[in-house]
Amino acid sequence: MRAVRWLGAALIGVSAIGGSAPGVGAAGEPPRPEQPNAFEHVHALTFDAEGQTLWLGTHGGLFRSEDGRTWRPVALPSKQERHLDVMALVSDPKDPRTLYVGTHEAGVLKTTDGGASWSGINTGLGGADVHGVALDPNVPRKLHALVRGQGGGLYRTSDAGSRWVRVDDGPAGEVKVLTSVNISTGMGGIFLYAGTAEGLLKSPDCF
Amino acid sequence: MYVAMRDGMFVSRDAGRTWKPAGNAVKSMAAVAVNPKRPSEVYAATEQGQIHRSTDGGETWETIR
Repeated sequence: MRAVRWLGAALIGVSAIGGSAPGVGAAGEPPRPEQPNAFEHVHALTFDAEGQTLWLGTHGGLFRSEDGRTWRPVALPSKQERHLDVMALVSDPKDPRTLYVGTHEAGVLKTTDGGASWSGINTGLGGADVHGVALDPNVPRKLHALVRGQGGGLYRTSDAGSRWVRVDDGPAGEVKVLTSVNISTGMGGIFLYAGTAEGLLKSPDCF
Repeated sequence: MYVAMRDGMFVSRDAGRTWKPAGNAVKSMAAVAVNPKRPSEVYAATEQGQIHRSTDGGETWETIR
């Protein structure tokens, strides 16, 4: 598989990027011990495809809101007592009930029923520490995931997460966010962006 | 296209070629989301979980949480 070429995009200290936003819909979630007044370290925010629901990924788990003011916790399956550290969120722009969640400890989780149930989609993924997930808005079954630590690198799936294949080491530096932005490269593809500790990078030929 | 950064929110309206600060957005931005049905509606979260909303494509922001 062709390695992804990363080009500097002239920015510094990026923590998150949002392009044309994709998304998810209704759900039910069990209670959480304490209602968060202050979120513990926000990592990611996304809309569902209908623009109805906001999803927020934090160090203390996943939350959802219909108005941005009131947030409810969303239960994710976890082998540990504590909530999963949600590092990345991306929603399917053509299916408001499908959302992908990248976690610090459990790889990538996916819901296809608006957050009511979740399953791990980690076949072929080399590690469990996922710091970025990006989806091709034109072909939502194509995704990239950035794994750090053990098995680190950039992975891609062409079948909505059934199987991941390692692409390369990914962009240099500490990747904080990965996103695809629906801007044509003029070469038949779109751009994949990585926000790193060093700056904003883009790859024109990823999908 | 928006980028949330420690220095605040930045926006590019020419596919990433040039960037400028997005309105009066605050510092320590951690994440940003654009409403796919109403692209002028943009939500941003700080690292600590403050939520900011813009309804004019990032020109002005209000703190809503």
